Amino acid sequence: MKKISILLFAIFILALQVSAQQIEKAVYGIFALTNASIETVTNGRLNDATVIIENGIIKDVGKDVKIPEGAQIIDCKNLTVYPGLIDGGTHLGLQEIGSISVTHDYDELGELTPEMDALTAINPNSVLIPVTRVSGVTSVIASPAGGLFPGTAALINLHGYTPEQMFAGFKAVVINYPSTGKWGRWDRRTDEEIQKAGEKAIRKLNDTWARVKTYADIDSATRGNADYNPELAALVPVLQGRMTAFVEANKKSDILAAIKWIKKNKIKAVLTGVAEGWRVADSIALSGIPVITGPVLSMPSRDSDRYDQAYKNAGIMQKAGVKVALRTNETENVRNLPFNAGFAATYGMGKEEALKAVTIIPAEIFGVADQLGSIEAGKKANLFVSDGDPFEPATQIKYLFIDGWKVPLESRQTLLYDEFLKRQPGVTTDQPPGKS
Amino acid sequence: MMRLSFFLFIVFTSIHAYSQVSKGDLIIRNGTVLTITKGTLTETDILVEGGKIKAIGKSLKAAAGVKEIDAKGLYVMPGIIDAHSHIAIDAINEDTHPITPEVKVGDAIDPFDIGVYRALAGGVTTSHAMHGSANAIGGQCQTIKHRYGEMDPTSFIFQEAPRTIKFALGENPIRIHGEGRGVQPRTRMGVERVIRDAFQQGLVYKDKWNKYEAGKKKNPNLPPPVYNERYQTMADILDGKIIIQCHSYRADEILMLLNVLKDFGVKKITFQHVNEGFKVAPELAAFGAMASVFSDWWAYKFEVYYSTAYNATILTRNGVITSINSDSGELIRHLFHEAAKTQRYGGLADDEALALITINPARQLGIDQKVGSIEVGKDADIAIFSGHPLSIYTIPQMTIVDGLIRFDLKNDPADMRIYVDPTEDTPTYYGQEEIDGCMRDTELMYSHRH
Amino acid sequence: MLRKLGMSLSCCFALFSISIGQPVLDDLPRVTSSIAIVNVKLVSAPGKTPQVSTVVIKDGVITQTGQNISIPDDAYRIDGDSLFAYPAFIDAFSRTGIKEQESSGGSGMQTHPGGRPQRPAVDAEGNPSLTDAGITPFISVRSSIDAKDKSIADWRAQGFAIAHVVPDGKMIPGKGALLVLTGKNVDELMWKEDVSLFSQWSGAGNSYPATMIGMMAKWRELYHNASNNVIHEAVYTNATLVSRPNYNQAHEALMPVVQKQMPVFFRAPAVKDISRAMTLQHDLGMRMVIADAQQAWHMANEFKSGSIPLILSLDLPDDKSESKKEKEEKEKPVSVPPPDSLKTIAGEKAVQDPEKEAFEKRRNESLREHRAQAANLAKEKIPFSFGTRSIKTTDFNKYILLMIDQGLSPDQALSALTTQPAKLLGIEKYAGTIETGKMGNIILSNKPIFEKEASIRFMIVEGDLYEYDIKEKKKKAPKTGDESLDVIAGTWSYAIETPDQKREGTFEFKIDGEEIAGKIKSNDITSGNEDLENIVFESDDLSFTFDFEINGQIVELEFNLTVKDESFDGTVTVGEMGTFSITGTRIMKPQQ
Repeated sequence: MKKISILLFAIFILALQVSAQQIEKAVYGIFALTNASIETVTNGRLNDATVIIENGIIKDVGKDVKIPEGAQIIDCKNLTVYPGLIDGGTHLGLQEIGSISVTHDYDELGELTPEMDALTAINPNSVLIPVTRVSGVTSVIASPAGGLFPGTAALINLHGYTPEQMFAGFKAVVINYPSTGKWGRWDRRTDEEIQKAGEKAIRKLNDTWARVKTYADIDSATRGNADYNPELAALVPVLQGRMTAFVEANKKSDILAAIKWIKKNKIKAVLTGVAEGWRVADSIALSGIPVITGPVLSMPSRDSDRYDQAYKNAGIMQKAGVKVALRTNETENVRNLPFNAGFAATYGMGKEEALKAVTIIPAEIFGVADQLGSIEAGKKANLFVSDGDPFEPATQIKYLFIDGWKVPLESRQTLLYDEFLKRQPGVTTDQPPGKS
Repeated sequence: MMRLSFFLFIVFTSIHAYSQVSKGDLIIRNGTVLTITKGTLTETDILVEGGKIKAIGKSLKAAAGVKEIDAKGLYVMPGIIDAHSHIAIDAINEDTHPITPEVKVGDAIDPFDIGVYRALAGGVTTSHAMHGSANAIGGQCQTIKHRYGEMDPTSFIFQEAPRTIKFALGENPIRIHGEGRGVQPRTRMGVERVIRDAFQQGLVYKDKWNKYEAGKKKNPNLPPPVYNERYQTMADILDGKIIIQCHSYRADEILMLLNVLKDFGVKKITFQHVNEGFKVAPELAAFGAMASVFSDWWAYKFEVYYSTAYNATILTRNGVITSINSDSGELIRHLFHEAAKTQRYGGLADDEALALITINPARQLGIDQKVGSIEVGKDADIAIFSGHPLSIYTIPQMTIVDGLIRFDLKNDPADMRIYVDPTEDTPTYYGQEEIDGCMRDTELMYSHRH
Repeated sequence: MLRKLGMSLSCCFALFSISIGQPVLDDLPRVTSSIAIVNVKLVSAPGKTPQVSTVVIKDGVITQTGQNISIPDDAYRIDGDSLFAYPAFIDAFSRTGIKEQESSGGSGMQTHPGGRPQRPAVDAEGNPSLTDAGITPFISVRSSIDAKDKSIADWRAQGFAIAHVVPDGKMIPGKGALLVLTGKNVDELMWKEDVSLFSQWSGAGNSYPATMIGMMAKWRELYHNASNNVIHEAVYTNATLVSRPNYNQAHEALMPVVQKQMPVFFRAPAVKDISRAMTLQHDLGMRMVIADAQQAWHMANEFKSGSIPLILSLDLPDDKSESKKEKEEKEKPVSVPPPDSLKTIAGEKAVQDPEKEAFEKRRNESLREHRAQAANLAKEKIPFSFGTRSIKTTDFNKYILLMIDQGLSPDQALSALTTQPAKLLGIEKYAGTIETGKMGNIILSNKPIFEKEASIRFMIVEGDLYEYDIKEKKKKAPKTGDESLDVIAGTWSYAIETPDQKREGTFEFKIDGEEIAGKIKSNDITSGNEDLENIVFESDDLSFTFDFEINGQIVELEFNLTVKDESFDGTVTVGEMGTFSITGTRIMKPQQ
């Protein structure tokens, strides 16, 4: 066995020498991706076609496309171009290390903090961001959490040196619709305690909303001179339907209650989480409210549920007529978004719809479908090129473009691989190189 | 008159023996058989008798009436083995002392855990139910077979499996004992100290009993020393009777334990999680230590910040026997997918990737003579998939343990609970906020993960 | 339907002693030590058909049974014409007589400023004192028994004459004792101390052993060391030049267990608890009894040989859904119907929910399985006894009848309460049947004992006679509308006419749902207690009791009042001192 590994090492030394020890930076300019298969998402699949990227925009897509002068030509023979994947809910950029709370910037103190703006706290240099984007995820919702109104989430592109450079043009206020379920298995509250806590939170939600209404009335009566009240002010655009609310609800009864609440208050809302959406898929469809659900790779919410119920959830809702986007609800492993989509595809959604659920559908829900979510001329160049189906684990991503920048496929994890695959020196008893 | 003498009870004899394992006969026809150790065989039959694989080949003859499974167009692989899980046990952490080798999670098997069925539905037939990582030396673990449906907890025990024990380095024992209770270890230095101390006590204890046994021959009146299961277990580790399964992350602490084991002459060890194993892969290989890793978990705490999903590939390429484990009731349902990620992160070949969840974990648990590949004579623990198990589009169809079908997609009612709480109105809804395996039972102190 | 039936039975009987000359009264001497029950329908043992017989008891022992026997002249005669006689029950696993524990508010759990509960530091974590570890095999239950504890009279009133009582605690709480449920002090109650060791799966929480796995390991270690102790002590006794054995209180106390002189009664309600206890038994070889079992049917095979005796819990799960349904119906009118536009969304209530039906089916099946445990084990010819440790007195009848409803025969129930526990506890020579030479423990009931309307008229416990006046307690409150309870709410003044003087004070009644709470205030009352008990109000009749301390003796005052508008009149019975008239008026209504 040892002999074999020595042989393998020899092969890999060669590979190592190729990777040069220099910092690779993102490149801007004119690119022509030629001879490519193109998964446009909105206009079917093109074979042996070209994508032109210029000034950050997809300039042209098609078979007979003129390649501009000075374009860097990337031969994509046997490769496929996909629009960058969009994750509808993460804490990416807002948390660096799970157990170290001082690195958690998504969870502010207080129940009523809608004015907390996630974009402010995005760390563009988080080590987690390159680890994520090299798997083809180019945009994510970075979302605050905790409390009734945790704050305002933002859509960001996973490249840039400032939050402003990363911002992708959409924000939403997060509302945690009061839960009447156990948080997890460790939750030892009795049913009565949970019910009481839920009722109390719903009262608080409704009281808050009544105040927002009063505040909005006074604000308009005084022509914008209402008292300083940033919490209430942050909710006025939601009240008036000018801004989207992400309403988190997961348990069947909570989902139904949240739908009622949304309808009653006539706000523009997206249901998020929706773990038990499959139980009430028709009611959600009837309400017309879009859904961001996930993670797909999660446990059923009850012991009595089928083992694969969470895999099937997205597909059941989508088939019932709900507009469904996916999320990982992750931080360090947002890179698993394509695999979540793959499981949704396998368990009822189908490949095509699952791809839409991580590209054009979230773009539509966020009102940025003119910019993101498909390979179409005029859209932002958020895309990647792979040697196959990005949902398949064996597939390799070959090129990555975010906002028109050709981003190197490098992260700390790939750098560690390069360094440690064949360590030099190896074990201390190894001969130093060149001494044998 | 009232004070009468007493005659209590009838005869007592011991009757609760380990229960008999149920085994089955069947034949799987025309599948694409991924044997793992002997290549891939197309259109091949597998004959199972008495829970063992009797024959592998084309057009095999089976006795009349034997159940036939048509696997045409399906992929047949050995039952998946999870080298690190916490399903099917009611107690994970006896976190009241930094050194608790005397406790055994096998004493707390929960045959009703729905997690076992869910694991079966992901093709997993064997798992290693581990003590948690609260203590520097935790309890003894239990290798179990997923015989879901049996009521007797002892029927889950993988009887031929050797004993294993959990060690834990780094943040978890430091947090629980040093920070939480103000006793050593509070640092990685302290972790080494308490482990060395336990081994030393094991040596002393062993010596005491050896002297007693020898002395008793000369002097039958020699009284026995105080019995101590804690140090007896340490002595058993020193005697090579127990395989160490060590929760670890950082390269330095891995090297530390290797040095301790060298000093005490202990050879059998698998490092668990071992996120920085890739940094010391040559040392692990030289020692003969094995590694059981996550496919891609990282950054949930500081000691896993400098991790890479290429860990399994680097370890494999450096000659370390490596497995991919779940440590989670969620991941255990799709270990085939976790193994597939090594094809994205380092491009392992199909058989190499599948070995990470079959024969390699079997080696780490010392059960590779029984399970982990499809070979004549091995236990008929088999998983059948609709497509290649490393593809995202595959769906587990059937899982067989000892020749008995324990999961069958075609006969799979929604509610598979064995025990139903008679006082419960509707089954409880649980949110997804989880305290993961390793630190369960310690949530009163902390709710960290892994 | 089952539940209703249980309810009517659980309307327990108000127990009042009546002076008819012989029954035990605290402050009066016994007239004679001999009792004759004449021409009673006698069921002398389980399985026997009732035979008209006469039973004579002398000095606590049955001296004669049969027809045409001569009744001794000194006997107190009970006319048995309308009565059935059964051997009194033996409680195989009990906490009768143990003082109720003060509420464990200070369980040691503290809350972190952040809200997360935190374990306090332990002095010797991992090596706690035996008491902190919950390992106290050296404690005898005797120390926690109170001869005056209400539970003794309560269980006696349910038909029990003998109880095997084990102490409260954690993993190994201590040693059990056999009590005869009559007597003024602990010695009189006590038949035999230290007859068993009690163990259960209850971790020390804060220190080692905290979990199931810790407890299993600890049990093994204790057992091995106790075994070594036995060897060491024998050597120390018989040889010279041997060092003195280390003294460890727990090892010392466990020596009778490893020598198989003392059985371990293992409390194991759930199937996993049973299996784990059996694993210990298998590994260590001690004599074991599985006690308080609620799911033993899963392990039926293990009990077939009878080598591990089985005590079933009398506890049964309650059907929560029924009580919830009632509650929902009550609350229904309060909920506001949804606006029309939303009706379709919430409208699925109208549609049958097959998922919910499936859940209900499974839950009902589980309920039935629990209730049928005794019947199914009996069908498999597995011997078992019953123990009351985990139930309230008031649930005893209800649960027995639910079990009988599931197929347990009254004879099987009777044997699980008489001959089986007698055999289990090694007292079949003395108790369990009504035969000459056995202890005079007899139930006299108005009907066959497990019939729905049966009630106990007399209990004889070792020759002590207790009589019960049957007064069916009415359900506390009417079903609909609680206005009628408001009739008594508020503060009332009262005056009692006693021969020497007029005694005055006030009652205060508070209504909370269907519960009535009451207090008494008077200058006559010097003891701390003010709470009225057993308050029952039906139509105009109000009755309640109050324990009153006079010169260190507890005297029960029994009030029976008739309320008319804002006043009442009636009687108060003061222990054995007599009955006096009482009047009163409402002086304050509760504030709305």
